Amino acid sequence: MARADFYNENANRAYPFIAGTVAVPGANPLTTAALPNSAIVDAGFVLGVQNDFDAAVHTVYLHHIVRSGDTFSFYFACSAPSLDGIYLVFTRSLSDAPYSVEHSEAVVEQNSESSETSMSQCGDEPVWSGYLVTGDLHELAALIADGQQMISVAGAARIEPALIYNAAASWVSSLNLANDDRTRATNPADCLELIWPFARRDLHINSTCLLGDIRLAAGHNIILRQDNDSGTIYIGASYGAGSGAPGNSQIPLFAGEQPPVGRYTLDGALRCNDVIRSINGIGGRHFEIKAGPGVTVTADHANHRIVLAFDMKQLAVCYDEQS
Amino acid sequence: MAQRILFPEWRAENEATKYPFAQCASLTNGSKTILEGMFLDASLYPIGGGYDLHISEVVITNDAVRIYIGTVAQKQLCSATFSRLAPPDLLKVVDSANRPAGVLVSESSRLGLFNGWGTGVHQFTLKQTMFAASCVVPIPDTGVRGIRLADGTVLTGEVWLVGGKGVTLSSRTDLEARRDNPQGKPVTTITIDAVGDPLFRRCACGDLFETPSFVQTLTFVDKNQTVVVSPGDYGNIRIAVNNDLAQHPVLRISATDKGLYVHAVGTLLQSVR
Repeated sequence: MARADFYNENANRAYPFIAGTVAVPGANPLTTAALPNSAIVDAGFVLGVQNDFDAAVHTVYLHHIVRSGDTFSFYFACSAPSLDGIYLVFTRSLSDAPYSVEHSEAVVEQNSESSETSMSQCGDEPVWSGYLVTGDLHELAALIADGQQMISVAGAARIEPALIYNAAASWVSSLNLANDDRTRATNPADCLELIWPFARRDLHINSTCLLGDIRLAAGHNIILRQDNDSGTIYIGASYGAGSGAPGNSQIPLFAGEQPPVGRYTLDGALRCNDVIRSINGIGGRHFEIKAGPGVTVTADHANHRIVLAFDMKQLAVCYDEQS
Repeated sequence: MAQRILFPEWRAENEATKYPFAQCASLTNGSKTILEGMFLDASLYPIGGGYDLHISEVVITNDAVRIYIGTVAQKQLCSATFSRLAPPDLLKVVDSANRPAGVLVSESSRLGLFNGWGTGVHQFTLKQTMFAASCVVPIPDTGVRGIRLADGTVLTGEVWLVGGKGVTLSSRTDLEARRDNPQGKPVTTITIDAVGDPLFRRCACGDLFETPSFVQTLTFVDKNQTVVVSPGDYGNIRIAVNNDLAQHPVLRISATDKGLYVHAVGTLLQSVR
């Protein structure tokens, strides 16, 4: 026996909606529960890689239909929190041929007159997308007058779960780099604060949306090991490994990182030759100057001075090598 | 008189068929049989899955049923688990990393039929439980699907790599000529540097750390002039008593363990001696 084609069959049943959620007898004609079976005959949806859709909890459903003249706009929504307020919009004219197919990407409505396609952070993929196949829209047109809307009611017009492809967590869509802020020097309490030529923050973004072929390179003191069989990359640190020890150079955390005013290191610390570490090769936390015969050492605390007086004190006569 | 429904609903139409299994699937392993209508629909898209997805194993314990779905090469590619006491209407299929891998559409009462199988492991082959092609989306396991950390965490989507204290991450993009693209293809290199934290003590001590006041210069003052002396490359300052032309200066400076000893040479007074 000859059978109707797939779309013909669907025009006479709820599919692609779950049976009982559309064309509900006695439903308010301006709600999606009253959507005629003939209006939508097929659909499919792809949820992007970064969503929190849980098939056991969330659904994709027809949120509302807006009629303007002979044009119908079908707004689909997803109940996953990450996709709240982000619609898939399909537009059809009453005169369109039955079984017209349209693909759409998610949009965020900015206001009544404009909308913006909602893309992932790197702008390379929509947060969700889908296709819609409509049938004969005259039955729908009989329910919604020009300028009216068909609005959603709880549980109505839910899409069959098998028509939703949830790509959540399916791949790495991009790599982004950031660095924790470095430990930065401060002046002693009784001095003026260091002046940094950039805004201080806890995390500095180095680069975003790295796509395509990406390599890892061992920089200073880094050991990189790759195991192709297990797809594993080991990252370790060892002094002098990779590009060797960095010496005195510092690596900027982000483009344009500069030392604070009056300093020469990125962390603002004093360099080795900026502080007196030893006098005549003698170092230590406390340095002792001891006076012997002929010399008097006096501390002048008020002026931060040490007065060395060569006063010949305790000496009888000067030293004479010939005597 | 029995009436024929001309346009049965989607699920109702499938309940008396092998769908979502392939027409060629026997649905029995000789011991256990998956009845037509136990599942009404399916959509399967595990990463690494091919066209040969099938139910490979049904593991029934005292309180749960786990249905493994896999390929011939990898039997346990993904699975769906449900309670024997309260089977749901929809089974969420996830892979070993807990990533979504599809759905099995059924009804609570239909899934309850697994209770009659008894506890144990029931295995099936491809010929017995192969899914219909339209229910399977082959997702090749190519590209970087996720970054798995040593603790098992899998990161996907827009992944951030953050250099912690003492580690710096940077990137550069170069054009790299290839056989198929002589003009050069952009290749990004991420460089990892472990440079340490020169101010680690300040970092470790936090608010308890007090910035020391370092001596940075020595200023020598006499009646006529002032000389400011900074340390050399290694932070050292040398104090000498005279220039090198004076062979026998009276004033002497010598180093001690803790500093300098400054004195003049000569005969001491009788009382001092």
